[in-house]
Amino acid sequence: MDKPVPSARPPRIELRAIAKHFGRGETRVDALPDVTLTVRAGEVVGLRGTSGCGKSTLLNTIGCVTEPTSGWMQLDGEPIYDGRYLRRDLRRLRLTKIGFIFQTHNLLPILNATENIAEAMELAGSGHTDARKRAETLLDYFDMHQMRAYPSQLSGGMAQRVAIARAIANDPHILTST
Amino acid sequence: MLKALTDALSLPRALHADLWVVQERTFGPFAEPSRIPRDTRELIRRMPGVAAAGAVTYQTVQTVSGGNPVRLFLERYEIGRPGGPANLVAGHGLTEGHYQIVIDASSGLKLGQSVPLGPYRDPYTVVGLTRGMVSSSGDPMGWVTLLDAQALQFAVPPALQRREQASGRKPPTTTDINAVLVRLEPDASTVAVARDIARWKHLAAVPEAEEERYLTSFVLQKMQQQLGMFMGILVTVSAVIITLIIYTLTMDKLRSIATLKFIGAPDRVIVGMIVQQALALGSTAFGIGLVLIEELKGVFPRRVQIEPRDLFIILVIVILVCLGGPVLGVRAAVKVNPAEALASG
Repeated sequence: MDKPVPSARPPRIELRAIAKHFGRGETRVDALPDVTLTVRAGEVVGLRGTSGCGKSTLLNTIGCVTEPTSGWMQLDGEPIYDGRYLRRDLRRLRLTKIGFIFQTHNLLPILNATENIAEAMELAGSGHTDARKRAETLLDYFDMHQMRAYPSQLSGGMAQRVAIARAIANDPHILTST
Repeated sequence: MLKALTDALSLPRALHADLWVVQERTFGPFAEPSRIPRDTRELIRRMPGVAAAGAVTYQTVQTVSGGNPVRLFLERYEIGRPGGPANLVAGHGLTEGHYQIVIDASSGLKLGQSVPLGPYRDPYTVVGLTRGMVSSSGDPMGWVTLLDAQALQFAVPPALQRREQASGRKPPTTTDINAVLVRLEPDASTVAVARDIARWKHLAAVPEAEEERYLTSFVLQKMQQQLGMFMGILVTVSAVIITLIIYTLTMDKLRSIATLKFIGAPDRVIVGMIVQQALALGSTAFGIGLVLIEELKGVFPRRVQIEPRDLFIILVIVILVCLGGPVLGVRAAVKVNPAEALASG
């Protein structure tokens, strides 16, 4: 059976001339020049650039955390920004369709490994028991057996594995990582 | 209002007097001086409806125990008549006409101990101990006989006595008493007996409940107001402390809050967590406060009794403070930009 042609896969991220600038006049900073980008399902895209070139701003824009100044943007087939209006329920979109893996794991220090993952699922509407079960399954998948350990008790690698498990816990269609 | 100083009402309540007979147009010994002749007791005793009557006087004295000054609120009474010590926990009441004293255990004095009283420092032996009997000022109660009372109240040191004699003045002496405590026959009407006493003896006869009201209104009200003021100050200070603690804790967790917002947590979840934290803090403080009050109340001579209604009011205040205190923290949390989760470090 032939593998599907990449271009036939549905686009998950579509950006057209997306730009972001801060300030006005002499103090204006162009944080993100016009970026046009399409990322389809199954594709892995890496961004590389010098410090301050706009990688984080682009990631924040895709993550619906930063509102673009101009351009057009669609995530997983849903319009996000049309140059004038920004979709309102972005929080829900982030919770269900986008997973984030942070540079530093950003685990919540007062929750243990299982709870960190389950919390993300409970926020998305999963029941407490189901969320904990799935969290344990994911930790097991990542060969993480210290399910009750708190972030301060985990090594950097272990904490990052928990963070990855949290990022994919809600089966997001888009996974971003810094 | 906080109902405090229940101990102060222990005396009028423990005496179980149906009527307090005091000087006409006065409010009784707890509110203002009342002087009536000692034979009033016998006049009252013979009135219809009166089962028993006892003469009492009150005076504050100071003595020394173990080198420490001890203030006592002395009640002088007649053995075998109303007005004797209540809530006896050790020893017995007065049995001799002289030099015996029954005293409250909060004075720190022991059974059998000798207590020097009066200008001659006559030794009074502690023959009985009571519990929870203090005056409205928090001084421990003591009981001596009326005969001893005369000596304590009017005896003067020898030098002063000589000077008084030299100047031709007679030493002050009186057999006046402050009040007569009346217990009525079971079928007697308090109102009718009080009316008869007022009409025929030209005295004021105050029911026990009314005497308690005088004590509460005239003497304790200011203390209650003071306590209320202190409580208000403490609540305000607590609110400021809770606000600062929650604000500091929130500022420490801004990165975690940003992460939660980044992954999609709604503001209400974050606000809920902060308020939950404040409530946990408040309820813990409330619990510790209750235990401290329960454990330490015996250390203080003047106890503040907090009744269930007061506790409920305090709990409501604590909850309100915990709900209002985190406003600054909540404001900071709601304003935090989710993008801060991406900041390194």
